[in-house]
Amino acid sequence: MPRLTDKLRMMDVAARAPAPSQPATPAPTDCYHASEHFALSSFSPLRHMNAPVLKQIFGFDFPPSVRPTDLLFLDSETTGLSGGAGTVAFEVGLGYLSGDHFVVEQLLMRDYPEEPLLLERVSGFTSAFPVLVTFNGLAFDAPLLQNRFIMNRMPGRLLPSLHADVLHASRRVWKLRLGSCTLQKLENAVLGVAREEDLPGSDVPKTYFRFLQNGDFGPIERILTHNRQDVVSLAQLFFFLCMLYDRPETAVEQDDLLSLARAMQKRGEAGKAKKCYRLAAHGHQRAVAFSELAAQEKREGNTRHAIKLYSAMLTRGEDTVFACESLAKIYEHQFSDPQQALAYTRLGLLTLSEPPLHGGEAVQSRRNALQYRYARLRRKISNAKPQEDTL
Amino acid sequence: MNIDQLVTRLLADPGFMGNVTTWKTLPASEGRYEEFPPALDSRIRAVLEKRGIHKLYTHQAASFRAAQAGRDFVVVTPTASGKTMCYNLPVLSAILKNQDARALYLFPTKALSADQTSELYELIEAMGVDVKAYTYDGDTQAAARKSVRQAGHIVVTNPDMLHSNILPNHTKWVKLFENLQYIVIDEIHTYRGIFGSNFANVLRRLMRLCDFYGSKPRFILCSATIANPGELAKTLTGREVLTIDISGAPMGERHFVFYNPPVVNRQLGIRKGALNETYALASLLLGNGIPTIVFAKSRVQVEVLTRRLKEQARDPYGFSGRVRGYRGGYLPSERRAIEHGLRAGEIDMVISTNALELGIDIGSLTACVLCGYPGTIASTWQQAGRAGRRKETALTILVASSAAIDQYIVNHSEYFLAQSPEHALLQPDNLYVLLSHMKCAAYELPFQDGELFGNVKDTEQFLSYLTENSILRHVGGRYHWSAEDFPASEISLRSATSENFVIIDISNPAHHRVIGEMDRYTVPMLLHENAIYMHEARQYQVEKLDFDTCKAFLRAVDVDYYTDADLNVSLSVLDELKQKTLTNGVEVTLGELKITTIVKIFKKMKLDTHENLGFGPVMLPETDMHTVGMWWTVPESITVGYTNDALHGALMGIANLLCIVAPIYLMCAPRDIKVIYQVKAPQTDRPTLFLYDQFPGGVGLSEKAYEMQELLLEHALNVAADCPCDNGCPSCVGPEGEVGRSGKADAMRILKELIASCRA
Repeated sequence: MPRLTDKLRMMDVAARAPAPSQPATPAPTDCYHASEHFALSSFSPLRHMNAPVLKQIFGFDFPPSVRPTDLLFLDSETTGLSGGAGTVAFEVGLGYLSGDHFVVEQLLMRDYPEEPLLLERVSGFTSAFPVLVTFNGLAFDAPLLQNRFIMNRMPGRLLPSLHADVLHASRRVWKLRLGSCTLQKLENAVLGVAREEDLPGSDVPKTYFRFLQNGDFGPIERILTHNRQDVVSLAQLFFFLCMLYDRPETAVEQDDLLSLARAMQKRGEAGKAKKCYRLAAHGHQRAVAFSELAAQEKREGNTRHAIKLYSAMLTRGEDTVFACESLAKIYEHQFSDPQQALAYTRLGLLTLSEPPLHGGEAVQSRRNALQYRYARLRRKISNAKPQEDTL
Repeated sequence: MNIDQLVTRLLADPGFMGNVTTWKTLPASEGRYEEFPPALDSRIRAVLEKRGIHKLYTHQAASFRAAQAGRDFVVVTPTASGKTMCYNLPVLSAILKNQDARALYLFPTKALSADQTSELYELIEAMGVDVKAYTYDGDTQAAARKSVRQAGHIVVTNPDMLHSNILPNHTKWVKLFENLQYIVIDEIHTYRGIFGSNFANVLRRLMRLCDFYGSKPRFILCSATIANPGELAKTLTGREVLTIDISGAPMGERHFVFYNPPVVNRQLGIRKGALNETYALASLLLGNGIPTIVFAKSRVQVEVLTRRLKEQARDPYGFSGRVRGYRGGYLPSERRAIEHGLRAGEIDMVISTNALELGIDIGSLTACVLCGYPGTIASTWQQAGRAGRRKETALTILVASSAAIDQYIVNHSEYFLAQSPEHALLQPDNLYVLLSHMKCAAYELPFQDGELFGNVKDTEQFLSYLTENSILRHVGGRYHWSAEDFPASEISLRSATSENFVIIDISNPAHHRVIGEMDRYTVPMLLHENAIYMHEARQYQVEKLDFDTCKAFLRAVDVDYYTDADLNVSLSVLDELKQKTLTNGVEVTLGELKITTIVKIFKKMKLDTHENLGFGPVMLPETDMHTVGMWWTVPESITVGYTNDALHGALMGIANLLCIVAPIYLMCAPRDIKVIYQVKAPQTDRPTLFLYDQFPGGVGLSEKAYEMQELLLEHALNVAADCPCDNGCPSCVGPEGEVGRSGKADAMRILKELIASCRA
């Protein structure tokens, strides 16, 4: 009769390669750790970082006294992406400023029994810094570390309550230009870093499991290199963002400026937003920048400025229909000048009937809107002067 | 006519009564009440009194007392007996006393949970207290999930969500797990077979985590009437559970009519078809505007009945929405719409498979027609319970088909009425199930050396096996999950296999649409290429079946036939677990089997006459299943003198008889087991009869059959002996054309020999 394990073997079609048995090892006393120092020359100037700038980037309040040395940069390597109770952060990279250097400390558990020691060290760092900076850490690293604290019965170990997630901030600025915003794409396109022979992130879990089985540390070095670069890039990106928000004129791409302008506007930084829109109003984003700038001016009550901007769009022939419609609105509602409004509406309708714009659903709906406005303006005008109503 | 008038008319109709074998009237019963228990929170009491409730039914009061005493208990009462109060009262009392207390409610389906909690919400709202009850399932908005995890006092969910979402992410539910006081599980009778076996292991995982977080929750379980609620509760929870099974709720008068369609050919013993008779009765009820549910046994029957009854109900504008079909394979949204229509009284008649057997609230229906015996006594009562949920007169008509089991029931209604309903059997220690859930458990929390999973003594062996396969890592006295996978996603609790096939309608090339799903084992039977598949009374032909991507592509057609696939089964013995040798050298063995099935051809059958119109080939790979079975090996001394053909006929006859009686005495659905025979079994060279569980790994049926094998043989013999046919018919050993001229006599003779060897 087959034994239970034989039966299990028989029924499990997806059986994997057998693992070597584990020699008994004494309880560990510490996890693996290493640190490395980096010169700050490759970082954007730290002076751009201050509480107001951080609030503009991340959308919440930082203590007024916040300084670069308050920041703890964190990135972890894990045994999977599912994020459930069975996923372990086997390596945690921590970065912070110390004197003239950026220091990266790396903690690694060489086997499961070292996990509590690793977490102990991690919590030593996280409790010493008031601000945590991560890339997608709000959704991934932070909850995962919380899981691990709970799983290892380390209650009350908390991560800093201020958590700046650079992923979301980066998306706001670079999504328009770059599309996807992975850390590696950003460091390449924004920071100009080119990694050589980098270990693909998707290979990390199986590389670690192989190490657990064969004890060969070589491939682990590759994980550590990968993670170290992640922490450095994270910090560089963070300070780059600070510089961009503090001095938007340092941005060179119109797309980025436009995104920055919108981000500023969303944060209620009208002055900076307008500045960015003006900077963005060159090249292929000019029409968009103009119209958004005009809309901002209108909101602020600077109708004359808005008219100037829309008129400029008209003269340049940029998004004429939109400009006409906006001007018609201003003349109709703010200046109660239906005649002038009617003139712009007519111009808009004329433009719409010209070849490149002819046809299509979107065009049709714009035409409908204009025609509706046209009819209403006609009514307004004739109501005001009933005796001339001959149409 | 209203229901009472109709009952009177039917009783006076000799044409109808001529086909009635038994008309059982269950009298209305008075309610039995008790005062509110003193420990019941005064706020709950006030709300109940405001609603005109001044006393509790006795079973509600008993439940409350059991909860106060810290007991685990199961409440077994009929439909509409106010069982939700049995758990809502103790749970709300506990939360009102201690704001930190938490409770977990588990319903077998999403639809049920939405339904059964409405009463809970009403109670909470009426009290105006801060008790938060949330439903947490696949439909819960991502944004709302966080607050459910943090603040929900009562979390309402289903086993699938618990298995695939809550348990693997338990660290996000610390509040719940640390303070869990009650685990409420409704409709536990549905947790049988593979679903039950899986669920028992999900509960083992749940209790393991409660242990980790230091909570000691109590179980409150509810069940429809089955034979072994206490045993089932114990198997599911692994604890001793108190049974509360005397209902104090009042009940209206109920009529249960056993109807046997008239014989149309006395020589051949052929009766009018159950489907046609069901149609006629349903049509009568529909014509009288009596809200009715019709239960059919197969999806095809549902579709055929729906189509014909819709014809009758069609209004001048062609609208026939008063009559609806309902079965698995419809999309959830479609089903919700039908349930709502029933509750709102917009639908007069629903034709359903057993999908509506569960306590899904569809309001009160007055009559119930069963097209054929549902296969188990519990199912029959469940389905009949769909009629007359309010305290009014209810009518149930069971229309027997010509199937042997139906004929047995309709002619032995005293057996049916006297018999306690079935046992719900499950096998939580099924190897497949166990292995899968141990993976999930290890993912959720590392196993410690010496720790047992539930009460599984072989835990260590499973863990070593998983370690050997690099799924776990054994180090420092613990087994750590050491793989990238998310093991819960590999298991579906409701089917033995995880992959379901998607059914896609490609009639409109511009707009392919998914019309349903089907499990892997059923697909070769119903979705092979060229099969006619029915959905919402419409016919589709399968154009392409893609086994690799699990997709079937269908096109709407209009043909006058249906298809019926021929399943070919072969088996081999993997392991023998138990064996007894009777006198005469008859061997009875319990063991593990490998069953290989393949569909090679299908028949085209004419829709109305069921004539065979021809065959078609099916090109599909074989399917393997490992399961548990028991078998009789017949010695030379018994079979000496039989020709090979005679032996074939005799064994086929016995197999057919066992197929009839085994489900009745094993108390399972006929499709849950299978009986096949081999004239020369490869390992013994002897004629052998096999009975096995139709579930990978088995669910406990064959074990039970092994224990009661003598009884099964005796009853098989009785069925043959009692049957008036001469040389075999479909109601006993099978038609003479199949078992041969001497088939019936030979089968009976061999059965007698087998029984004799049991007794000697």
